[in-house]
Amino acid sequence: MSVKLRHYDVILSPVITEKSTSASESGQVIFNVARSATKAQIKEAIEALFEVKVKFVNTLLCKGKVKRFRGRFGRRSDFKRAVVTLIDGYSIDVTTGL
Amino acid sequence: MQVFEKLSDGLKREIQVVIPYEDFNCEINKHLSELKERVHVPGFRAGKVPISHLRRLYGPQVMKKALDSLLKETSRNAIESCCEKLAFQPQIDLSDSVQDLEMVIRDRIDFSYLMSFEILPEFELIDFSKLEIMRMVISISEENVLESLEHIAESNRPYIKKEPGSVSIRGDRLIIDFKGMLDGKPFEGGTGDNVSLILGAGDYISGFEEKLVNVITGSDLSFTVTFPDDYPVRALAGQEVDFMVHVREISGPSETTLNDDFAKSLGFESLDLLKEAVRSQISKEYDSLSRQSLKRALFDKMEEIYSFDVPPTLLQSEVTSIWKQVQHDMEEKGEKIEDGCSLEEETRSEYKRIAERRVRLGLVLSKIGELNGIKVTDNELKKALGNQIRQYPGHEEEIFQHYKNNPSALSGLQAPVFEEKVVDYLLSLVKTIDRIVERHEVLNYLEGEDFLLQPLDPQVVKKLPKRKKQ
Repeated sequence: MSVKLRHYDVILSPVITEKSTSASESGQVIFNVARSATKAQIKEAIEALFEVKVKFVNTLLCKGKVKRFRGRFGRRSDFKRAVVTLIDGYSIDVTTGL
Repeated sequence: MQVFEKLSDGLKREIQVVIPYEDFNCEINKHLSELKERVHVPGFRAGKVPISHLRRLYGPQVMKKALDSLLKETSRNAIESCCEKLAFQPQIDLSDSVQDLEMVIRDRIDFSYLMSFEILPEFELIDFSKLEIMRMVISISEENVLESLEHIAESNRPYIKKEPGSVSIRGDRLIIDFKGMLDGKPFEGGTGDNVSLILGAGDYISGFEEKLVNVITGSDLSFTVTFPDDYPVRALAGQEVDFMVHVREISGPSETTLNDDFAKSLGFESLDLLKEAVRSQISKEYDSLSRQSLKRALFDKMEEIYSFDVPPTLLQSEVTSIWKQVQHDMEEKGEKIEDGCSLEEETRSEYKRIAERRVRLGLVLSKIGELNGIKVTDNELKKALGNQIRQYPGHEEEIFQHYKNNPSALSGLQAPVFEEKVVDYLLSLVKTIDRIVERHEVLNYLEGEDFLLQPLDPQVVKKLPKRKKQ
């Protein structure tokens, strides 16, 4: 599948944390994705951009934290993450970037 | 690590060192794992960051560090494998290699660099106990002693108070009170009570002493003196000052006779004891002269015996240091400094000859010292430091701090001590033939040869402890 511009709008950045590194050992890669992105869109974008086969995608929506600044309440924006499970034999080196 | 010899010309060597990619990689990882414990990366607890991620973040920095330590290690190993002694720190040429560094990582190729250095020449030490060296011994004659005694008498001439009413003449010592007025006001340093003044000694401004000739005890004088234009105190230079002087006492010089009384006035019990003291002082001076000449003769002999090549870089640095010293001397004398380029060919080759001698003797002496385990102890160093400090009265603390904070300055101090010890050792070996000569002969022999008397450049000595550690 060829790479389309909209694929870049879906995948925002890789998540590099201790948790994500340990997840990569079981063939899972974690990304920050657009809040409006669906699992199907994510699967399509990942397969196009990284040239891998995706088994399935789990997503999670994380509510932004409520923060107080000078007595007023503010809210950080919500974000969506996708845990992408790859088919055995495929891998993504997130550290090298897109 | 592999080493290839590229050039071997005289004392010059150039080698190429190849470090395999695996070694390089291993070194980088070693540095990264050291880093791992220390850095905080968002998303990870301290010490939990995977190496691959660290490498992405800190790769370039760590690469430089790894390269540094690799260079240090491999260059040392390479030299050890050549089994040669270096004349100075090797030059490592990375100009081509650094550009390759990126490629080394990307394409996993081996990394190589060039290293050039000069080795110390090999030479055999001769058996010094077979050497014969002439020592110049100066005998002390009775006349020498008398001569310096008279000098002492001259400078300790007693003065005898003159009869009241007698007139002062040149050479007399006066005790006066004086008061100077500039524009009717006294000025700083312009008054004095009970001051002694020797007429004709020239200790006071010109014109002042002249006014005090032909006066009698107890007389009061007032006169005007013009200060010289170049008087150090600005406010007084070229000014006319009125002086009021009261003459308290006039005493005339008396003849001194060399007898026990004279000796007693100098704090000795009798004339014989004084003579003994003078004699021992002279003999001390002569001893040091004859030692210098002996040292010189030893070095001359050694120069005749040894004629190996000296490392060109050492030679060059020695020539430069001599040249600097000459320049410094000239500057102090106020002479015009010739440009280094316009220096006559003859002088240049003269300096080169001296430098070669210095380096060669330095090498020989340091080798002798090394082979015979001659070391400079802390005590001796302290003594040398003390002597050095005593040369700058009033600045003791500063000088001490200077040496405390500058290990290189201290090792510069070490060099002459080391040299002395080695020379002492050699002199205890060689046969010396005494020859009695006059003082001026020795002086002639030593004259103008300061350069030849200091053979050991600190650079060589500095390396000695280093080599032992390895």
